[in-house]
Amino acid sequence: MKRYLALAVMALMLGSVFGFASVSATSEYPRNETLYTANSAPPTNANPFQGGNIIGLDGLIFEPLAMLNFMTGELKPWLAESWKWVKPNVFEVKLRPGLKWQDGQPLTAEDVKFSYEYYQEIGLRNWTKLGLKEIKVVDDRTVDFIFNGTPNYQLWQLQLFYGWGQGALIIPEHIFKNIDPKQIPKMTFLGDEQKYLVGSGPYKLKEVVQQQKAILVRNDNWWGNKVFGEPAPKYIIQLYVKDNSQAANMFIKGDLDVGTYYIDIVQAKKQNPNLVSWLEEPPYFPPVAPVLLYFNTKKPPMDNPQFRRAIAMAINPEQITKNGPISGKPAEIPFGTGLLQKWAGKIGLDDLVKEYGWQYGNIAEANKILDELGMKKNADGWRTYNGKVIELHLVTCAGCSDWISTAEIIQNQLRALGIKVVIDKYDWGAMMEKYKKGDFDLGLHWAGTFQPTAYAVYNALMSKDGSANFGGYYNPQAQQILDEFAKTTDPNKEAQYIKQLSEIWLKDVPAVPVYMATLFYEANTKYWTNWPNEKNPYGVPIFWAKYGTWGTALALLGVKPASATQTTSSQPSTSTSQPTTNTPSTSSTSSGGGICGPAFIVGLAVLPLLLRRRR
Amino acid sequence: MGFKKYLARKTFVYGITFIFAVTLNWLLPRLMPGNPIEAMMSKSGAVNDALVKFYEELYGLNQPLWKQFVNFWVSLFHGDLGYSILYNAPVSSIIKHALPYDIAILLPAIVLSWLVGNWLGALAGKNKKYDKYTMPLFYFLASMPYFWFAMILVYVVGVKLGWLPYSGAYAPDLVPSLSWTFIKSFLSHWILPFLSLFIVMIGSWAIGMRNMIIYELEADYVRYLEALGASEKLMTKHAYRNAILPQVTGLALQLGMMVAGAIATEIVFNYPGIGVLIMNAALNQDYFLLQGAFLIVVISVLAANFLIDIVYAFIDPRVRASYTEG
Repeated sequence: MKRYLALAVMALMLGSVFGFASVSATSEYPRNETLYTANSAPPTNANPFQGGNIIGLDGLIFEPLAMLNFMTGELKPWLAESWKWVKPNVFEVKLRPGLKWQDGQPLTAEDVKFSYEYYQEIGLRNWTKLGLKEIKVVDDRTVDFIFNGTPNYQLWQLQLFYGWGQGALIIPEHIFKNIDPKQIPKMTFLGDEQKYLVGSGPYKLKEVVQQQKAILVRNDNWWGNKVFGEPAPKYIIQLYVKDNSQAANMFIKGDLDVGTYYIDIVQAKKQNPNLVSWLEEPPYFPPVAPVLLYFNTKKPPMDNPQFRRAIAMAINPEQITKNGPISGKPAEIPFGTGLLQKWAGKIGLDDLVKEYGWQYGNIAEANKILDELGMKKNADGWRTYNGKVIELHLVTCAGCSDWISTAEIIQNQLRALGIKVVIDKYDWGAMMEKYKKGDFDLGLHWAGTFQPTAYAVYNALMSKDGSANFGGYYNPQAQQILDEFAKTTDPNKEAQYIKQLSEIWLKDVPAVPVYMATLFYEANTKYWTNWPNEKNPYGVPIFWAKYGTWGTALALLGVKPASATQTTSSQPSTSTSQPTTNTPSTSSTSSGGGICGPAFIVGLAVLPLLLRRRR
Repeated sequence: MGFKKYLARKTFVYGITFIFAVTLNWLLPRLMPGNPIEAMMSKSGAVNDALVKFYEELYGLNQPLWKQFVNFWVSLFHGDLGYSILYNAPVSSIIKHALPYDIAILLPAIVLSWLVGNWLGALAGKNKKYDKYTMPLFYFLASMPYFWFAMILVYVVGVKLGWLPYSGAYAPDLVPSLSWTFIKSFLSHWILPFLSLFIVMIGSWAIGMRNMIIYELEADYVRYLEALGASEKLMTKHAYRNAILPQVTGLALQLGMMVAGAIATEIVFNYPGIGVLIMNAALNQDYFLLQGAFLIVVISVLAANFLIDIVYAFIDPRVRASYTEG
């Protein structure tokens, strides 16, 4: 019995020698027509309402009225040709001509009205809370959103594209009118339900191999071919790659074209010169939004803006970017790269900072402020407040190594000031609970800065019940400006409000930007070129699900085929030390005898089995 | 009659254990601080109270704990394992699609390593010379972490030598089908993860077997047989049957735990199994996936134990006797 088993194993190994050598390249998905991306979560859901977890479901299959370019802060008309407030309470959207669904039906204003109403019926959005009274179809291409009173224009603007808790994708009425909205939240739209996925976009969902890959195929009849040009990749395949080092290997071998993985890009580039990222020099990865050091402004001595300013001054972001996580230098105000690009010039940020800001890493000045506040040092060199040594608890997340190393650097930097910092690590859920309850002194987070518009940033951070106002900051003046801000769409006025809010931010220091967090992004130019980068930020390198209309779709639509692909033979792939094959199936390596190695290893283990019987 | 009673008693004990274990699995994640839905929201950058409320209602997390507990049992008896918070998919579908890959790797690895390991261990136990050379190797294998050996295989065989694919369960440009191309691709992707488990597992089986054989060969009954002039073959046969008993228990436990997946192997080889899914569920407080996955683990461990209890009664008459007479 055991001999048979051993023989079977041997036969298998022998078979492999002949069998695997001939795994042919006759794939359904030719490498030079297929773009490979990957996600660290498996594809399990294609629900367009919740965004699912398939890259491109939002943006490439289903489309919004407008696309946001998160890296430039620009709102790009998409299904909508234009929009404007025709009356203080009427928002009119004009659709592009010639829109159609993937099944050939025309996409009209009725579909837009249906989509927005459907989202509310599901319970995912509450437009009524934003003041929406009625959606009226004026004609086939025009739809009016009618509000009660003057709505919050700034918040409404965010509803044109799609993200977590905001905006909507336009869905076909003729398909979804038959589905009860109550059923939607738990539908996965896979298997039999995939037939409902009729979008308007440049790609269709071809197949999902559950928990392993999702395959998108180009829709050759896309309405946008005339407007934006036909997208280059025929197929987009999303793999499930969990581990960073696996992703690194795949990038080095050229099996992955683009992704969001933390890999050692300097090393990887050495082995595969085709790899590119956002920047050509460190930090290479795109800096996106600053991480803030929050103060619990309800608790003394953090309730004193002067104290907060002293701490801000003691912090040296340069040291953090050098010794901490891969990151860029932040501005004093809590804006990410895109928003800075858009507003810094318009609001005269440099002058503002010169007048009201602080100088990072100025320990002498920080010490002077604390001395003036009467926080004397005790015999051990620690500062005291009301006779007690100041001990601040910095709450951070136990798994976030970037935050922990930042916290340790901050701890050192504040030591120079005579302020004792204790780092408390909790897991993510417990940390958020602490922030929410105000049970912390200092904290780190980026939730308030990873926002699409300047209003959204300041609203999240400075308004009384802002979603990321963890420190409980409140300033009636800031609140008033935010209220005014909400009622304007005039870019000049917007700039003025942003300037005022930035001034308050600099004076009050509700939180300190400590470093500009980067998004990991690497792309392979062997098969696809023209990836977005700092000089050509036409798209956004966020290759996650649910951020498709924040610029991912734009990036995937902008790639061009590498002309080099056709002449691969003339261009020997010297990039890797081992022979690279044209197919990603690494099994088809040139040497068939290569299988002997593993066969030998198994053989070694099996040998005693065979020998035993013969004895 | 006696055996029936034995079975009935076992079934009762296992029933109680099952209820207790499943209840604990339900309760423990919920005792962890923090709210999974809020955590999920804040991780994505959006902190949105309305959305949190929507999802809490969707998952029934807004209800009092006792009611959630009742709901859990009710849906369990309807065959509904719930809906994963993290992956937005029915738990049963997640398990169904991931488990086959783990079994494909783990079942042959465990069974073959058990066979080979016991063989080598038995040889070592009997033969001093062989023992001297192989034991260090076995200890080396047994103390080797799975992920470390797997990483070496990936780096040396997969990346440096390029002999075999080292990522995924099959080539990235294929989809599962019954075609020859797919099967070949699957098998070639299967070899390295299988080896990484198989080789490491051999070590511990061999050590266990070797120690048991030595112990049994020193036992009185073998001495007695020797004194009676029995052949070496007969002595070995009797010693072997006694020595294999604890190994059978070990095998059953390993097979029972099989459905929990092989986390390290899955991560290193990017194999689409269930281990990583469970790990992420635990890290993200995905109550429903945790419950569902542990339910499967509990059932299979109990089933394996139950089976082994019965098998024991057959292969070890002492056990049967103690139950029927006691």
